[in-house]
Amino acid sequence: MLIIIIRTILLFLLIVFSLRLMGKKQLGELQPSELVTTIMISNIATLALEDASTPMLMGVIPILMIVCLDVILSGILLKNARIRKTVSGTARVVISDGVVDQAELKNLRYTIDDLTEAMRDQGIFDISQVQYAIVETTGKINFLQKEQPAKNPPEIIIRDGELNRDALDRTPLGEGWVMKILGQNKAKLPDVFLMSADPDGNYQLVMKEDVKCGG
Amino acid sequence: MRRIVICIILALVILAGGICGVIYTTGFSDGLLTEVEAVAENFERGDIEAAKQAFSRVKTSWDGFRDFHILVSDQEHALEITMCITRMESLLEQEEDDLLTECATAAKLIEVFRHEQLPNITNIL
Repeated sequence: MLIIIIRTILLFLLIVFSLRLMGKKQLGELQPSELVTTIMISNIATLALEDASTPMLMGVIPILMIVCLDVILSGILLKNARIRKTVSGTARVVISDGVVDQAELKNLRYTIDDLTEAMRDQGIFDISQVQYAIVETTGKINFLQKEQPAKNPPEIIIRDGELNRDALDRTPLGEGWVMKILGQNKAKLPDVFLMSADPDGNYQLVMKEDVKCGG
Repeated sequence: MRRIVICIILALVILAGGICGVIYTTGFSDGLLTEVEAVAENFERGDIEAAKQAFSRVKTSWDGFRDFHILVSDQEHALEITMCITRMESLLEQEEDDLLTECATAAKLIEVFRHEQLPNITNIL
């Protein structure tokens, strides 16, 4: 039985990372580990049902193990941004200021047909109307249309107490501005749950629930 | 958070169960192998009564173990051991020399059975 338990753990990790390797295209709406959990549980349950000569425990144990691994992995992803990036990946901008990033599309193995199909799925029939398009970690593409009034979308510059330098670099604001705003709100970087800001300097600051902002 | 703690505990319990299963089946296999060898030795010496007693212990042990068959990954192999022991019983009653061959077969099957329960690289892959 210990062999089956070890195989379950190894296969689970292998499939999660295989899906990461295959990229966002295959995932649909689920995170890689969620998809793996769903697929494996359904397959194992089927095997346990089909083969009456095998003890049912040989199906129950792997299923329980997979569920435990999924929950434990979720907990780890919650706490560790680096592991979260490794397992789930990051959202990728494929259209920026109306310009399609072809290199990024190629990296993600999305064709322009995939992009336009996703656009039509959201009721957009003219690519020139798209301001931004972002491929999420689940593989879904979200679009911001130019017709929408005003502004450039805000960037998430602090996430769970960590500064997101990539997002900050996409704004003209700089780290000094971020520190100034935190200082004005008497907040410390590790205590910030979420901070978003647009290039015009409009920001939103959300502190962690167990911390109150001094400002 | 509580869900994570529960899952960690559950995962550890499952792992502990697996480890205990391996320890139990390997210990049991070693004991069974000793008894099978005792059957062969006693029969070879001509001590049929001692051979029958040793075989009785083999049969009782194996029949008792089958209640724990959920610990076993390879059910078909376990079935082969059952059939081998059945043949041994018949050969012992008729006091046929083929019993020694059957004992050797049983010993090999038990060795393979024991080896298959171990979580080594060969068995995992």
